[in-house]
Amino acid sequence: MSIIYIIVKTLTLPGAMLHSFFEHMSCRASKVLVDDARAIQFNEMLGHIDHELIKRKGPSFDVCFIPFFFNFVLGFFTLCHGATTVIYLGRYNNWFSWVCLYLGISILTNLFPQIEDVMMLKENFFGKGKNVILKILVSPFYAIFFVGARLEKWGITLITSILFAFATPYILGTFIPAVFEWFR
Amino acid sequence: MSDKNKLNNQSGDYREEMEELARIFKEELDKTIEESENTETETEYEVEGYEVTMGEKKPVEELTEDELCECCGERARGTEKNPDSPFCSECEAILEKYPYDWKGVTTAIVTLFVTLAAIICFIVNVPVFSYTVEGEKAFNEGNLFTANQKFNKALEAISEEDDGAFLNVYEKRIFLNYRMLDMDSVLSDTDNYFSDFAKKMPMYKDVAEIEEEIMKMQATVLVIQDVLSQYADVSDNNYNEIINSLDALSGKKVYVKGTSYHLEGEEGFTPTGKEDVYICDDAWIEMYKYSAAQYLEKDGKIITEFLSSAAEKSEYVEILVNPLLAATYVGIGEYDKAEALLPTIKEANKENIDYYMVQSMLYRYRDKDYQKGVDTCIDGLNMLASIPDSSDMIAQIGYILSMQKTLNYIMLEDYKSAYTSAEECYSYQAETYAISVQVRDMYAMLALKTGDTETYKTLEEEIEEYGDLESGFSQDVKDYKDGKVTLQELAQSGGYDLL
Repeated sequence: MSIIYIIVKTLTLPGAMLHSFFEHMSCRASKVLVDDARAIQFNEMLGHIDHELIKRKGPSFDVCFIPFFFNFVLGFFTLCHGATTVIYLGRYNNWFSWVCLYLGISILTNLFPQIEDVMMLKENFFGKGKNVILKILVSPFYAIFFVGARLEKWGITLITSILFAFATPYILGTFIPAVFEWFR
Repeated sequence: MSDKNKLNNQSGDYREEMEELARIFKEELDKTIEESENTETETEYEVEGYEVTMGEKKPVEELTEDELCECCGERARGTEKNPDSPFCSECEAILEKYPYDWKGVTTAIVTLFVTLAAIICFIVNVPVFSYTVEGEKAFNEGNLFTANQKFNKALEAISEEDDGAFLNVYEKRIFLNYRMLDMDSVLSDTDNYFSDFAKKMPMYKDVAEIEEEIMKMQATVLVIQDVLSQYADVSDNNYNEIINSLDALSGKKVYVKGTSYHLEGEEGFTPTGKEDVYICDDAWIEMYKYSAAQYLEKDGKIITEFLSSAAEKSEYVEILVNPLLAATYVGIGEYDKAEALLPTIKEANKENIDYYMVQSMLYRYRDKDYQKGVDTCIDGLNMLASIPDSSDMIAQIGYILSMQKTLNYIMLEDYKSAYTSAEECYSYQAETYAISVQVRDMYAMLALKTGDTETYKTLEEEIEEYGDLESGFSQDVKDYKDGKVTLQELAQSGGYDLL
């Protein structure tokens, strides 16, 4: 497992480094203690940072959500150009489009938190006697993070992000022409 | 020495070594404790740029390993805020502000810039993308004229320096032009934008196949034209001979190199192996047989046989043939066969008028429901008008429905409406400078019928002006003027169903 994980993380190094940066940023914002924040380390911590066990609700959510959100936003916008130009319009002679395509896929491959962080999130929000409303609000995120973290552990997020790259032009195609028409 | 003795000796050595180590460790530990007791209570530590003052320490010997800070291992665990913390307050302060790795920061900055640049580039490409998406959607829905306009707009939106760069847009236009039977445009796009290398790539396999098919058609047409050029004219005398000559081409190879082409077995030609080789396209052989039969006004059944045989042999030719076949079926009274073709005709291009034309003919010839015939033509014309920027297209093909509408009005004996419709039909054709004899004659006859002699005279003058005096109005007009034939009889004769 770890070999596949490390290979995928190495192939998508920019995305992994970006994820660890945002994870670190969220740790600092939430005052979570960090033990090791090296951006490149070829082990299971590649793309993540080593931090303390979080026993507070907010920080445990932030550490999972903030890197996910920022990576998703940056990855999606980068992929918009790369995927529409290379995959949909077939413009192969432009290096920047290829860079965007690679970077977009790379960032979207590294969206999810470590499974340990997801477990902490679960413990903090879903234990006995916890707030029901919070449980309901957090449960979709928990589900996404849990599935994503599992997929990421096996390197499957590389495949899902490539598939997403192929789907992106069609997703954009559902509303971009209407927006363009509205502006025209 | 036995193995057992050796082992005993070795374990004795280990023991001695371990005891020596324990002694050194104890000495060092005592020394360290002594030193620490003699030093000041405050010590400064520097960790990666952070200076921290260590608080008062408890004597180390009083703390177990579990009570020591996980980070420094020297001070007691726990802070004021969090007594259960595995770190001391000083280490916590450091770890809370653990410095960022410069590699991560650099990646974040670079990514941010790339993302901003990507957003700008995406916005620049939005027109090309939007028109292509709309074109593809229209193509998938079978609205081929709209698709054509959208793809053309997408290509217009591409800047000059990027001309030819967006291969998938050209690919989509090639598929569209293929469905619209525009062979020249397909070949122009494949030649101009797809290199031989690109055509070999798996994703453009279809483009290569379409090009191959069209080249095959072209080679066949060239060979057929060569065969037909041997005959001065097509007549009943040589009809069978022509059909046999055409049949003889089936399965033969055509060798094409540049602009020259040779039929297999041609005298004085030996293939060098450098030519492109195509097998004669049977569908086009059938199409030329149909042309000969149509030219000699052969029986409708013979014509429909050739047409259906051509349609069976090629999907491409089927699209071309179906409306002709359906109209011919209506002409020979095989209405059910014509009706059965309607869904296929509609599916081929929902924006084409062929469907409305055949449907209107069925209402007029089979059902004698002329009002429905009129309504169908109006629906078709409205459909054409609903296509964005379709004014040219209405002029080019709208006259076919206007004529159908005219014929239905004649059958309804609503000559005023028929005249207006014939006028509309004439004006459409006048826009394209290609007025057909039937359109002009019908307009003239309805002008006479409604008492508009001015228009009749103008049309007559036009014939003189364009040097067409020799032919003048057709025999139908003369017969109508002489009262030998009625407008209704002419409307149902089939001679005015423009295809």
